[in-house]
Amino acid sequence: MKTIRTVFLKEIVENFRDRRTLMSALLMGPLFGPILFAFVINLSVKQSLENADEALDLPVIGAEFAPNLIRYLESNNINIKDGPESRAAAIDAVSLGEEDVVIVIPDNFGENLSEMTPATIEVITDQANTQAEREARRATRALRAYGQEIAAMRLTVRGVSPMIMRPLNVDEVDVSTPSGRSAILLGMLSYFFIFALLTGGMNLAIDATAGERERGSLCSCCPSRFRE
Amino acid sequence: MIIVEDLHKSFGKVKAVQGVSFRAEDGKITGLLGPNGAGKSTTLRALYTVLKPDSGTATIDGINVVEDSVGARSRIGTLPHGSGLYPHLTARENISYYAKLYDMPADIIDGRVQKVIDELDINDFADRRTKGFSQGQKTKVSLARSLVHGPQNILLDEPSNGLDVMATRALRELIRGLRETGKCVLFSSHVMQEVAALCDEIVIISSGKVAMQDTPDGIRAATGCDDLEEAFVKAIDMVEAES
Repeated sequence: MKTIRTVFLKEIVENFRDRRTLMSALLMGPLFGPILFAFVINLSVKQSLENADEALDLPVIGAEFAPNLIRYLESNNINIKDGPESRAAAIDAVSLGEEDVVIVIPDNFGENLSEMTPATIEVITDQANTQAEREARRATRALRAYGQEIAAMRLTVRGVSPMIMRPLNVDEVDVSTPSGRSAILLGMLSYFFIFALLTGGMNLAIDATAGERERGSLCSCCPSRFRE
Repeated sequence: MIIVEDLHKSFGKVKAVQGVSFRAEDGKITGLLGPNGAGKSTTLRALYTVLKPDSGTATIDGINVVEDSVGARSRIGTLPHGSGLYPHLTARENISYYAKLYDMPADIIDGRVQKVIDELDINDFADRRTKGFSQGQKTKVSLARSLVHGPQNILLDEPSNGLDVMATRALRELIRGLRETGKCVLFSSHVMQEVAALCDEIVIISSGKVAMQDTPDGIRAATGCDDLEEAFVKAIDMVEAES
């Protein structure tokens, strides 16, 4: 028991003097995790907020084939600009990261619309790029909304109420309170607590076990009067 | 006094020590001399009680190292390979940590530690952390650490490794001083001059066997060589011819 106390006291003194162990135990462990967490959360919140308000610059190929669609998009906070000359050039530009999203409207777009066959619109994007993906989603959402508007108008022309297309009206009622939401965060915190303990204690544990061998002090320790 | 009788130790297929016997008397410096890999360190480790011999006995002041390892340990001070000091403790703390491990009464520890510090002349750096000590300083501190409990027998494993001329001379003086106080000093080395300058008795070990045990003069006479180095080579050749 006395030997255990001696060794324990020595470990405390030694580790308190080791700046690296102390730093990792008291600073890195408890601070690094939460700071990283705060940084990531902050970044994602900032990104999503920025993009929602900002007007989206959208390069379009073949804008002249769909003047009504262009007008609709412009009224939805989307700035239309001229895209690359061809579809192939657009694919190149997107894959090189020069453009995030390019919309291609084929020359038979108006024809298809008036014949009431589905008209194709291509949204060229790189799904691996998160920034581009968000913009693509916005563009797609605007295009779908335009499509629905046309569908509603076609029904109205035929004397059918567009409401027929909406048999259900699904409404989510969220009863979560701010405290309930913060419980999720608290759950994350407990994870960080464990993380801090592990990273903080790691150096200390290494020094006290493998370090003893590494420094060669185990060999001189053993012949001392340790009780086995 | 250390008596080793017919010690054997193998590590798997490697027979490190095969039948080593020798005596190291009190008040004498006994040198364990042999080429690299001859089994010097293995023999010493068996004496430190960190290795259990396969067969044979070793006694320290009449205490069998296998049967009463704790008793044997309290009678030896060791300087193993490498200093093994704790870099974040001062020299004094390193020494007194070992004094505590040796179960010395708390009230005499500080006095004993100061005494070995004085004896080994390490007052200048006794209260500095051992991180960054020179090899000579480290060796002195670890020697102080092995002497703090006042052991009768001192085992040194290649103590002059990595020391410069001045430090080596200082170490020799220290070892001679230990002999004057009647201690039994056993040290291993592969450096001829080291052994020639210090030892009263030389045990030449080769391939895990004792080639010869005698005084330096006795070894010169037995091999018919004036030069101790020649005698050493000849003694080793003799063993190898036998086996």
